[in-house]
Amino acid sequence: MQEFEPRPQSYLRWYFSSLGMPTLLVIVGLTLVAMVLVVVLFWRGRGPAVPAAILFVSWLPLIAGAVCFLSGVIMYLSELAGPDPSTHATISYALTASMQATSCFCPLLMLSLVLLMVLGFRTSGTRE
Amino acid sequence: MLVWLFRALGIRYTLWLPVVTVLAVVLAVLAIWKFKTPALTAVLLAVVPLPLLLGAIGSIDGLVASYQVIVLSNVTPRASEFAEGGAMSLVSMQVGLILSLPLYLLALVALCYHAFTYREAATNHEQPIKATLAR
Repeated sequence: MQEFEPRPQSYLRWYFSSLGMPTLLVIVGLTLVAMVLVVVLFWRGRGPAVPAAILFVSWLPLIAGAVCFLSGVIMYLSELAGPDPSTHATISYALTASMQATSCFCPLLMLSLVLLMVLGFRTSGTRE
Repeated sequence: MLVWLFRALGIRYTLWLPVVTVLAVVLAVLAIWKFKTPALTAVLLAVVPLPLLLGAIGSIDGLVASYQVIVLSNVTPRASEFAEGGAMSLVSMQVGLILSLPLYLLALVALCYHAFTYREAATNHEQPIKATLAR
């Protein structure tokens, strides 16, 4: 009888199954909300509160990722301390959630940075 | 679960985290109510991460305490004991992060409100014209 080795899972499939649909939707949704808010603030916002508001908004996906990461690590360590430390699903959840949050945060940070630079140049141009 | 949470936080952080959060909320509300935008931004940037910072201190404190127990005990520690110490010490950071979320949202809403409702003050040369027009 021929024995087959289990077919290795693709990286993407592992990534999305570890992350789970709710967390993925929350992180991507928060990123989109933050992106829209940053653009609206740049476009319609007035006064000295705009840069600070943009700065605050851009951290939204990273904060969600940090909450997921910490809860995943705590769950994993609690499982390790328990009587049956067999599964490693929670640590992969924690790591993929933080990775997803970081990869959503980077473009948002770039966008915020570009808009803040434009805002800064515009403000310094009107002062002279 | 709740008992485990309180045990992980310890009496000090179970008391301190809510107290610091309430203090931070009061300061943030006071700043939003009274301050102009530049000072408000500075106060919010200082106040919003306060519960998170206290949670981080609690985590490091917990890790130090758990390693101290391991160092002082004569028996060889098991991996599960390390893991339990780590999990319990991370709980205070998690609670601090969750407690600073409402503050963060409050700051976000306040700054967006200031940004969208800002009216530029009339410049000096415009004020007499406006006063004349008003008459």
